[in-house]
Amino acid sequence: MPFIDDTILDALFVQGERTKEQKDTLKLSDELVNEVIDADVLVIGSPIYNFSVPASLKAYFDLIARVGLTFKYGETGPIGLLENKKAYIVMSSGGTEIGSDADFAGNYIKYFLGFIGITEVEFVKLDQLMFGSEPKIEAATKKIAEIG
Amino acid sequence: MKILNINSSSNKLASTSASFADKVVAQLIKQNEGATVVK
Repeated sequence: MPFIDDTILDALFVQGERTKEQKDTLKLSDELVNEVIDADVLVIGSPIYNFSVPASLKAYFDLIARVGLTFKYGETGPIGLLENKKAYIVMSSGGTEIGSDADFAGNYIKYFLGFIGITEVEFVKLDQLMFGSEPKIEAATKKIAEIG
Repeated sequence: MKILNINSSSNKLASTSASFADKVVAQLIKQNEGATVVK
């Protein structure tokens, strides 16, 4: 997953028509955006690395945050454009408790999804596995079995 | 129902979240007739 660089920024924030090179630069972003638009349900599996999300997930979110496609700016701030979608966030961690002050992953993912309009979000938590994984795995398995 | 499965990493530290995300996808398919995975 490529990270945002000057070439991508120039293609994103172009004035007027994009050149062929700029369109090519945004090809992957366009494909990822179309996948999200096409989906009814997102299932995001993510570990917590050092209190936050893997860099690849951040890079993915950066590529699907597109003005006019997944969000727009209104008079009072950004408005998410992806409606009627639900997301399941399956998160695992070794030591970080999901929802704690040390968790910069779960809240970030939830906030980002809300930013693009996906507000119906459900967590499947597998956190602090280094302190005993069996109860967590049991609870996650039970929660998944209850998904309709 | 179209399901997009996004696994953020493929190394061994991500195997738990990835495998349980797959279980969520399997459950959604089981519970929703015609559900498909778009990726």
